[in-house]
Amino acid sequence: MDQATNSTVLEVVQLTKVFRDFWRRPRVTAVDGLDLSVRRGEIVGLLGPNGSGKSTTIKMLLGLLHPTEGSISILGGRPADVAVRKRIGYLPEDSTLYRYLTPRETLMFYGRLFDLSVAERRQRTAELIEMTGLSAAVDRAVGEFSKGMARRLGLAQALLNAPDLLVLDEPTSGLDPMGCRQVKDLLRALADRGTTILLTSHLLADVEHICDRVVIMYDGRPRAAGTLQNLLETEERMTVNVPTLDAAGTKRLLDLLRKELDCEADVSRASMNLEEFFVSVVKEAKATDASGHGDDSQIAAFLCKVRGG
Amino acid sequence: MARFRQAVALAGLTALEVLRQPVCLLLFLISITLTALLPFLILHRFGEDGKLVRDSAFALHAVFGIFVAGYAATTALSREMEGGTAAAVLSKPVSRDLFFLAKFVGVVGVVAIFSLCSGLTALLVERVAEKFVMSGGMVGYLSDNQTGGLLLLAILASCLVGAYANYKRQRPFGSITVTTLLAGLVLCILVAGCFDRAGQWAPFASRLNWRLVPVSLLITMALVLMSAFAMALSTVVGTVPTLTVCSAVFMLGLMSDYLFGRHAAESLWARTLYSILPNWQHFWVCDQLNAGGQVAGTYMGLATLYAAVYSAALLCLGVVVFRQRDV
Amino acid sequence: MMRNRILGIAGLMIRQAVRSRFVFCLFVLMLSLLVGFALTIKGDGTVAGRLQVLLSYARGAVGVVLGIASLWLACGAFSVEIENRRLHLVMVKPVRNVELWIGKWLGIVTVAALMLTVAGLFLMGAGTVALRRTAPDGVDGRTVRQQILVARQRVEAVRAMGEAGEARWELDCPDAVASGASVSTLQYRFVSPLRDQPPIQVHWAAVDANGASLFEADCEAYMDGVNRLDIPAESLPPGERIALVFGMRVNQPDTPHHVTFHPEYPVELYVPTGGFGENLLRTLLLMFCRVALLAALGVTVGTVFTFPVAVFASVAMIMATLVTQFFVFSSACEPGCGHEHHGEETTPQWVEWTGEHLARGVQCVVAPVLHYRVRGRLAGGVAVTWDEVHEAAGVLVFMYGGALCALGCGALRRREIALPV
Repeated sequence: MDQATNSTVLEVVQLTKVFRDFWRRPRVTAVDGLDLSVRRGEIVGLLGPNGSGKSTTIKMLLGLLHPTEGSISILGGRPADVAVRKRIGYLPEDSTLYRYLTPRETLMFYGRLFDLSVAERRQRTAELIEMTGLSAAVDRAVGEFSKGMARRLGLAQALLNAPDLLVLDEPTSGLDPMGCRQVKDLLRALADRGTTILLTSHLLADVEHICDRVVIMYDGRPRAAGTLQNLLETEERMTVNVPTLDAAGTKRLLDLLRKELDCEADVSRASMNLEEFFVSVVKEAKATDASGHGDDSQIAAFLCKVRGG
Repeated sequence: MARFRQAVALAGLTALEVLRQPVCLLLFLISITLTALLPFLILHRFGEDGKLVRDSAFALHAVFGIFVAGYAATTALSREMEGGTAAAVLSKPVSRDLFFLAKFVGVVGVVAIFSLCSGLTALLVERVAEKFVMSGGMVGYLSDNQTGGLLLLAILASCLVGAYANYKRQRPFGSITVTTLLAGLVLCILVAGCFDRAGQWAPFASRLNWRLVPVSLLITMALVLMSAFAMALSTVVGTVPTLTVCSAVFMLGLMSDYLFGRHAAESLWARTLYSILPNWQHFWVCDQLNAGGQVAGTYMGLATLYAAVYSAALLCLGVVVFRQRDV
Repeated sequence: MMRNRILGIAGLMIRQAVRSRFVFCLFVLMLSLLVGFALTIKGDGTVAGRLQVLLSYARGAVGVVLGIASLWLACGAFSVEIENRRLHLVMVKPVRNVELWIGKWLGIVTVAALMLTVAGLFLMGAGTVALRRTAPDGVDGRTVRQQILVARQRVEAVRAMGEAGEARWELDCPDAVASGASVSTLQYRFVSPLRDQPPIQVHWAAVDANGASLFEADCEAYMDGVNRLDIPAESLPPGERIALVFGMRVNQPDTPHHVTFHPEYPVELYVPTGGFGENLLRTLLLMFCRVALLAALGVTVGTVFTFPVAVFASVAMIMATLVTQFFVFSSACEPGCGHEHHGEETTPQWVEWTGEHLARGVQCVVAPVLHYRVRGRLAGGVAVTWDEVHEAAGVLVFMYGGALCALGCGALRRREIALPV
């Protein structure tokens, strides 16, 4: 990897996409002057309500749509370059897979498009099927899959080439909470190993957990961008974490804060968010009853192995 | 009353949905344009032009009509089930029987519009075709070029109106063009009635050949029957198999007399197949028009009964299957 | 590398065609057609007649069914995948447009080749049955062996200057005659307004370049219909130029004293050069080239339009191609041969001029496509040569197929496949 791509994996300048009607008249400006720069190993989230231009941006980055204006430099090349596409993994918004193929055949097919050797394809296919928890459905046609299963297979095909840049459109959509958690942990592990990730999501909690940086889009234009810390930090208030106190202890703490710091303070019981609670319950249940879900540590190890990391 | 309103809404929506498909418009336009060009394409056959033109016009009506009927029926049901829109509608307080039958009515609506356009065009081109004239100082073969030009102009104008409505008001090109085309053809009929074959002002002087109407009606019945068949089949299989089977049934039904009819007396198989397969020959009566003949009223009645009974049986079958079908 | 990806895409196409039961439906349809023909065709009652009609109908039906099926499959190759967004995942992989196009096309033509093989085996079987059912020395058996289950090279004789009162043609005998072949067949027609006339007595002779007689025969010939004369195969020297000399024996007062050879049906010599099996193979290969071209057309049109529109556009293009032939033919007819018109011409002059030139322009482009026909040749025992097969492969598959491939790849590059629908 050259110096330029080492630091900046994706550089988008004044990217604009105007959808036109049959008469070539502009109908909708889906993306309007987007500037975006993503460095190696970063997880960047594109946020925004429906129709804000997130998916259109991603499709332009992958060469599935042509920009009306602006330029895209991705992994040091253009989106249409075959060499560039070799290093990209993509999970679309809806996992549109070949319905008559089995998961194994699907991954073998995509592996072939990456020019992987037969042995390599077989090995990666087997490992990814195991890791995404699809072992039980390995001989079923993809057309019979539930949305979540198709999503897992979609993720497996995106990881097949151990990509340098992973582009994920709503990666957790259709997944159960355990699956969501696994995906998030996996993405974090991948980023730690140097994979750059660009994702879109409606689920702010997901983004908050994993993204280093977010770009919030509305009506095709970026409205806010920066690290989560910068964006979410409030200047006015602080939080103090202490072990659970009894009523007397709580009162003493409040008195102390009011007296010593001369400020208004309140105390409430710390709580998990629903996802953390759900995960803890399922983990507990898993300890007694094994389920078909894959293990994210396995996936991370897989990627580490295929990329020689 | 509420059910009736639901049925009307569903049928109207089905017809509109089909008419807005580009392929439907293509089928309409190509069929009508080819029919309109027939008098100019057919070589001079010494007075036989009229017969050749009307036979070809009816053939185009039947062949393109089969495509329209098959496509409309599969779009109305198979595609809606594949795409999930059928499930969305059926989750509302709409009964399955009503849904199925309303869809059929919508498809019949499209077929009727197509047949109306084709029938009017056949009437016009038959008049345009070259005929031997010996009156008013004219002796020789004469074509009604004025009506022919008007007909072509009506087709072009409908496209322009559709384009204008789409460009200026974002209205759907397909349905506007078809509606304008129908209006244009009616206008052509009225204008043609005001002039003679040489293009001189003479209201009601040269009448249109209304004997063509029953023939056109019979073809329309065949198309309705084909729609019922395609609808019933759509409840079981997807778009591609439906269209394939429809094509096969069309071919077999066309050759039914030859393939099965002549063996019906001695073979049970032939008799059964001859009875089951719709016989399209019953609806093809162009030859009746030769030498000034016309289609008998009793024949029309019997053919209508055949089409109605057959369609009703197919629809009942379709309703029963659709009740059990997972959408 | 490239081959691997192309084969992968082709394999996917075949798998989908098989698992969606497309191949099964096609197989059943084709087999029922072939078996249906075999069971219902009666011909003229003889084994030869039945076989001839069966070969002709079966080949024609297989050609039509496979053509339509391949076009259908090809039109959906891109358009359906673009519509249901499956192509998105493939297009973001390191695959070139040309690999994608060739892969899809290859998958379709492989299915077609499989079906043609089935049809070929059936036709071969029909030939074998006919051979078993006829005695080699019977009339029916001879017709089956010498005129149907054989590959005969057609050599057109060229009219040459003859002595007074004789008609003379020259032709070059083919280089190789099939081993074991017994007869070559001379075929000719007369122009005659009369029908059902008694036959006339004619004399045919074949002489070599030095004038030495090779063959002579007195025979009967009919004024209407096709006349055939069997010439012993060994009497014609392979690879040499010979002359055919025609004369009439006028021995009855009511028979014509002279005849006119039909200008549209030249005098032809059919020389057996090979067996039925090889001819069937070459016929199927020629059919394959045509199907491959149809598949290429469908795949390319499918890159531009949605599925139903692509099917429609492809069929319209094929129809237009066939119609231009008719236009060019009719425009070649002499004006003024028809009847008198009252008033203006039916079609304005400028319309005729534009239409004719347009049709001729289209004809220039599509004429080579329509050149490679197999109609009636297999059933008539007329050889399809390897040269024709090679030429058809070059023109239909590589030249026209290549041009369509280039167009398809160009369209694919320009097309935004993820546009909202």
